[in-house]
Amino acid sequence: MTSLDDILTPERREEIRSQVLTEVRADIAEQARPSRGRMMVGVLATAAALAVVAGIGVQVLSLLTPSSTDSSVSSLPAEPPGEAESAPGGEQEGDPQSLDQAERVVVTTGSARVEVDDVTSAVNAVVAFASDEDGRIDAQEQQSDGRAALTVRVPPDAVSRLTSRLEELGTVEDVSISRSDETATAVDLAARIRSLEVSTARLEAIMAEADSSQDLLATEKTLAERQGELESLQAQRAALEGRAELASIEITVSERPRRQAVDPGGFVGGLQGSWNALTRTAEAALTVAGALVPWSPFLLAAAGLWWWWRRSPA
Amino acid sequence: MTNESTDEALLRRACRDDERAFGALFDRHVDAVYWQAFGVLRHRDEAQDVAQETFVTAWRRRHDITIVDESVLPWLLVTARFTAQNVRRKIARVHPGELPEVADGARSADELVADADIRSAIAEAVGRLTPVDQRLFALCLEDDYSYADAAAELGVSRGVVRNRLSRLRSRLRVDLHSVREDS
Repeated sequence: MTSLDDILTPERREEIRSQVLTEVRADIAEQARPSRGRMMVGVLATAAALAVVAGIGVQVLSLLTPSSTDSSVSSLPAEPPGEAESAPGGEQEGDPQSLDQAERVVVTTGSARVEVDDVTSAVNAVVAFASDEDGRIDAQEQQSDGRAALTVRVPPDAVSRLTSRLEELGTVEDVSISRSDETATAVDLAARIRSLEVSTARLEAIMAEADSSQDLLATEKTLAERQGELESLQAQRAALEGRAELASIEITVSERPRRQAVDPGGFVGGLQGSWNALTRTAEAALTVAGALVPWSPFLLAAAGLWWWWRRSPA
Repeated sequence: MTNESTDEALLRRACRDDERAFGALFDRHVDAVYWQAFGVLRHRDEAQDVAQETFVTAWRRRHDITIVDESVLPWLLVTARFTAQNVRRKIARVHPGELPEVADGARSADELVADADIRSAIAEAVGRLTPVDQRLFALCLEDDYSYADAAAELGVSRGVVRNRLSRLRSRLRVDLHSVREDS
């Protein structure tokens, strides 16, 4: 007869015991080692150090490069505009099918940032330039920190003269000009307008000869729709022509910052630059720490409660 | 309990990473746990694995174990049974026929006797528990309560009982004190 002691022998009991206690001891050893905590601290410290280095690096780079260029088609002031695109844009009246190769429809847009000593006089100069070139100012905005933003409209071939003028007024920080050939859109619009003109004329003729009031009403409805479409397309064409006729350049004028005591460049410059970055970072860190201080009693109390609750069996 | 420390005290020490305290808990309850697992699985090695796993789980979750009255045994037995049942289901699925069927009429007298022995071994261990812990065991293993639910239900009544006992004790002290003064 199998008794219980034959099944749960002392050897088996001992086996179970040693397996269980091995795990227990391994657990305790793992927790006794501050490795996890130390690892976390190490990781955090490294991350913090990397963040500081990255911040300093960015600061140094921005100080060392005098001007950055835009990612879009950028032009430095000395670049002349393409001669082929200097045509005043817009297509010939009434004959969309026979567009000349020279009659491309090109829309010019751009932006420029310039630093000057006196913002007001610079803005006036730009406004005067625009009117001299048969252009205009579409928008003008003065901001409280002394910056001014203008949207200048001038003929496309005046754009290079505009950038030259800006260089005379101050330091041009970055310039970006892009030209977009919208000839296909213009041709398409013209074609659709032409066909709509034809169909509305035909509908008007039908209405004039309509016999029954039923036919009249049906035709009138269609005619109204066609006329609506026609007007919309005509408006689009006018807008496109306007954009091609005058380039649209957004100019930001700001005041030159105070003379920096350090020349951005060279070893000393780099050193000073990163030192400034470091002190700024330290200031920020102190601000954060100061902000946390009033909260520390609550945080400590909460942490203490949690630790106490964890330590005693629930 | 005739031993020096209650389960509660041992568990508290185990929570502070006292390996010897946990070992004492192990020694106290390993038999009952093993029989609980064997009762479900009828397989010596599988029951051993389950017993090991039960205690390792108890260690890993030592901070979360709710002792309702005084003993960890109900928790251990519930966990052991649950684990054993899972193992049995898995084995039945993967290796049908490896475990002896529990309700098999062709079993030998040996095994039938062992059945009764196992039940009485567990019953003996449970019989040493306080009434509240015995009720906990019954709720979990017979009425199929989850441990948490049973503990919650009994926790309330245990609180009531404790209060009554402490009131009795303090009244007794007062009475004894007055008796001593009179004499």
